[in-house]
Amino acid sequence: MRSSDRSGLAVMVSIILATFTVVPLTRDLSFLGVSWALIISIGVATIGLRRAGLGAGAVLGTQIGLLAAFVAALAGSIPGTADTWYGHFVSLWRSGVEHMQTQASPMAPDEGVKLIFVTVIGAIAVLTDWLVSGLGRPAWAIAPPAAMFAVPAIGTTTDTGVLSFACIALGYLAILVAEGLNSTTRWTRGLSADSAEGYGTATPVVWRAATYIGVPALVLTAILGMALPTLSLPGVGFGSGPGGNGPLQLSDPTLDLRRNLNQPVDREVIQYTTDSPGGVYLRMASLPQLSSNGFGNMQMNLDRGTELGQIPGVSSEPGRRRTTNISVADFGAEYLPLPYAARSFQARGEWAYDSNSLVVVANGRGNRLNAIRRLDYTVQSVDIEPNAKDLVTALVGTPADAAVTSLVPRDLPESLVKLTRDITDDADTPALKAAAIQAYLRSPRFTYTVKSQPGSGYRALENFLLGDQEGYCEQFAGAMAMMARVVGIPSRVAVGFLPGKRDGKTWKVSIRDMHAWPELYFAGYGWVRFEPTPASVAGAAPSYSTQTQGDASDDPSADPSSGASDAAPSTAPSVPADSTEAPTSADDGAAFPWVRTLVGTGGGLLALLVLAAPATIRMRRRSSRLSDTASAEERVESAWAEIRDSVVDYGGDWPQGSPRAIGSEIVHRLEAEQGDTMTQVATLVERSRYARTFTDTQTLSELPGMTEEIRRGLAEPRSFWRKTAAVLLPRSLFRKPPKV
Amino acid sequence: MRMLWRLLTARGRAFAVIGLSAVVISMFAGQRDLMRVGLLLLVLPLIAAVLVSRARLRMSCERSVEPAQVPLGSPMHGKIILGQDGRLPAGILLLEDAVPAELGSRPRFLVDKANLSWQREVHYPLLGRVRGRFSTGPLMVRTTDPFGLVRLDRQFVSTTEVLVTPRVVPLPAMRTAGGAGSTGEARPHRIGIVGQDDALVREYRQGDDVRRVHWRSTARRGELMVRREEQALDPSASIILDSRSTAHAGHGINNSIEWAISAAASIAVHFLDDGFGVEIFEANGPLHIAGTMGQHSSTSREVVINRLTDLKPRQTATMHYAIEAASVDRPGQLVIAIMGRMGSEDANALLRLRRNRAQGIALVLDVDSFADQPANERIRTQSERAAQVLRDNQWRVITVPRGMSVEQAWSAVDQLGRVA
Repeated sequence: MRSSDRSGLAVMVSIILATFTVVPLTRDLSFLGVSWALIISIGVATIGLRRAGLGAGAVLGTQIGLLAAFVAALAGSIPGTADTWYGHFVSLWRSGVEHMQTQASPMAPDEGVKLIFVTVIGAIAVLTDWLVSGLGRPAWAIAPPAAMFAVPAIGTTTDTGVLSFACIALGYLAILVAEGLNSTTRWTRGLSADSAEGYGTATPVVWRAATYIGVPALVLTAILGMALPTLSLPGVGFGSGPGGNGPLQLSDPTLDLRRNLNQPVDREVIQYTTDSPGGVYLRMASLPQLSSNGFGNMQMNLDRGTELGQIPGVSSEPGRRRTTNISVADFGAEYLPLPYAARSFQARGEWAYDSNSLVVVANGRGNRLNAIRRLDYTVQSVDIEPNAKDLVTALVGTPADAAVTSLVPRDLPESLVKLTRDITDDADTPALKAAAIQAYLRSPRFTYTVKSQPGSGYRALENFLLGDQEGYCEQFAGAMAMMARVVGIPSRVAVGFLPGKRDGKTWKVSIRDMHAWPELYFAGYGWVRFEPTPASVAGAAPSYSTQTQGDASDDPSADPSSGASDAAPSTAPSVPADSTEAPTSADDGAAFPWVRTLVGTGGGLLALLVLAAPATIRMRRRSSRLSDTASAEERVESAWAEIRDSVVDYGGDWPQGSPRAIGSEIVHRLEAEQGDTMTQVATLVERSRYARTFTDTQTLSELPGMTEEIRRGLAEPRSFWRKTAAVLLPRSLFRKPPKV
Repeated sequence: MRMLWRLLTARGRAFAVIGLSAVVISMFAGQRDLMRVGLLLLVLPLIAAVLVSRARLRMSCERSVEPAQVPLGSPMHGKIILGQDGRLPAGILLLEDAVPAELGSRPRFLVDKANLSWQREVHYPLLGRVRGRFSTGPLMVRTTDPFGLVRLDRQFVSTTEVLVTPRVVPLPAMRTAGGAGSTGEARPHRIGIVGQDDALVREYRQGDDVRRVHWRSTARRGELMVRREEQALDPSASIILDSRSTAHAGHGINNSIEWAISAAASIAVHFLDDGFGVEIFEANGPLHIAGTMGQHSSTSREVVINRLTDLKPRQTATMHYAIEAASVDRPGQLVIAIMGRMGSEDANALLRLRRNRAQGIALVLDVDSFADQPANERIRTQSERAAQVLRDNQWRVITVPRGMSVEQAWSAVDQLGRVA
């Protein structure tokens, strides 16, 4: 293989690997195949041209021409409206740029984006090849793929992971190895004859050396990359994060819900004490956006601070403040579980809140998904407890984000609208309509079951409301929020925890207390919690929400949440992760800890393996020395070597001299009995070395036992630490063996 | 740590520095992904350096060059037997033998086996392109890594001496010089060279030095015997060799001085074989070939070749020292001058020298034909005129152009003598 072929192949491999690093940016993976075709065609053409002996400039020119032709062909294959081909190209490019500016990663498929990706990847392939072969500077070849890698690395807040890095690293190492192969091939010269076969090719040696260096380097990098801390000093950051002003990416809380709720074992995740009777609903997230995929997150404007702004829509804030001390156990999320409506909180770390939903999210660096793990914090809140009589007459309000929270999608199935109309026909006021919906959902015709299909999309809701009428909290909450919108009440779905089980003063919330409920907006009262999930799961509905026509005089003093949950399993509500229009779309948080755990375990195992290596090598050496396969002389010599190494292991030094002199020196360090054995062995060594014939088979068979005995004798007087060190880190391994 | 740093190549150092700064910067910026790239750059040279520095080589090297002494322009071949005993290090072993540029390019090879122990024999060609004494070796072992980050050079100690001598050609016997020629001098008999007992003795005469009494013969004959005076019969030749760098031109092996030295060596050996005492005078003085009396001719032959092998072109401007030394030397019958570009004072000095010699032979090199570009006209005519001066004074002068062999030149001298 010629050296230019090797470089060309290495560049191809490197760029093909590098294409994987931009995968997190888009959800459309079709660009991969196209760009590979481009990379390979450029690479093959380059190899051919170099073989033909063209100069660097000519090769570069041809590569650029090939790239342009390929991109033009790709653009031509995409249908468009422009008249001219270049107009078509420009419009595609422009639409791609626009798409990238408006979409958060991973982006929805777009032909323009695909064109841009393929063009950029092709340009990077040409640039890398030019650096490697044109300029002859293969060490710089990390720059173009690393630039590509930096886009998702800096552009998205979450860690792109070890695999993405491994792609870059392997590609770069491939280029360096190709250069190493080339330079070793060039090395041999000026020989007229060589007894070695395969004259001049050191390929196996180079690969072996590359493995010896590359693999430990990659493993060490992966381990250190996880172990080393990253500081987050405000103001010095770049990329997106609190230091900059870029958007945070929030995970879909329903994903957290689903993941945590699917755990087979129920466990306690939160403890809190509160002065609010009956406990509090701990709300984490709020999903205001309704689409065909169900309720989902929308873009939020986060404010920093621990004093939350005005409660949206509440005309007069209730005076009574409740204080709740919450401590989270082993449970990770980036949303801070808070009672509604929280007024202020004291929690370690960086937090920011959304003034529309009063949702508080972690704003710090690092793994925000772990922001609340083992966190203790205090929150002051007020109860939103509308007077039932007043609520009946309350008007529907217009919240600040009414454009989202009161939007009824045009594609909402007619059957759902009709059902809603049927249910709420009799009710006069918005509150009564809401109560009617809630009552309808809480009626026995709906079965609470964990086995139903997940989701709160149109299809799931149709199935739930009109089909098998089976579902769990996500469908109950989703159905009520959707129906409220149909009758004109702004609504959203909250995700969080039920109040949990009371245990003395403490409330204990388990992971299966995760819950979803609707919040409806009324003028003067703001967002009011409803509870359409059956009592067997969620307990009684709030008193203000259970009125019927003419029942307005119901006792308002009833404890709104008297029937605190008895922790019946509330199966994971699940909203599809990919609500296409949500800029704060979910990143694939579910897969991440899995990889991390694997790598962590692998790293741990590797560390153990490294730690155990000296002991293992030493033991293997000992057992091979004491085995009885070799000739008599060799066995005596290896037993002698074993005694020498043992002396060194236990911190002694090996005296100089003849076996007899050494023996008498060592005897002083031993008890009488083992001393005799030592003398015996020393004599044996002497005889095996210097006697004309050596056939003392009797003593020979006892040799391993004698060696063990001397080893015990050597170990006896030593401290525990010395003995442990002799096993785990035998000194004899790290020293040059002295002459026996 | 410092040792590791010294192992790193420029690329390795750049990796370490860039990697470290990338790690620090991305740590502060909280960019874990970029930190990994920096870590890789930092860790690669470190691991490579540690692996290479920990590697111990157990290699043996046996080397020779055959033949160890060659005439100029002859091929030799070097041989290296390399043995490995024990495990190879985790690097790539590149080997290079230090061969002086005068003998050829440095042979390079690499270890392409990862086996435990092996032996390998490598041959490489050498060419004695420049006269002189050279040593090949020591063999260098470079341990490096496939990524080009680390380089550790180690050397064996053994070297091999190589001698590239002037080319010595056998010359035909010359009847007109040093033989039974017109001058009437007899070819010396091989006497007194085998041992003391063969010494010619005669009876003691009044006035003989007591130190010349040959006691052994005296004891045998019963009367006082003395060793005969032999010096008068001892023929000798003086060779004047123009070794001034200014008098010669040409490149490397084709330099006219190489022709002159080759001619001097051939003629000296020729006369030594004929039993002459020979002394060579070069621009800086005599080479002391006949330094010790009674040398065996083959020993002298070695001395001639050795001295001429080491002879370097001189910066001396005139042949003054050579001529002076030759004239105070014992007067011989023959003076042979091998000259490059001559000036008139060189010719005059040579004339002075022949005053007490029987014969003068001059081989005047046509230096311009050796050079790539001819010297200016003045020097050329000067040299020609000087040759003419010699000719006019009964020197036998041969002008040697490039391409003429020493043998041809010598025959031409003989022809000239016969005509004369």
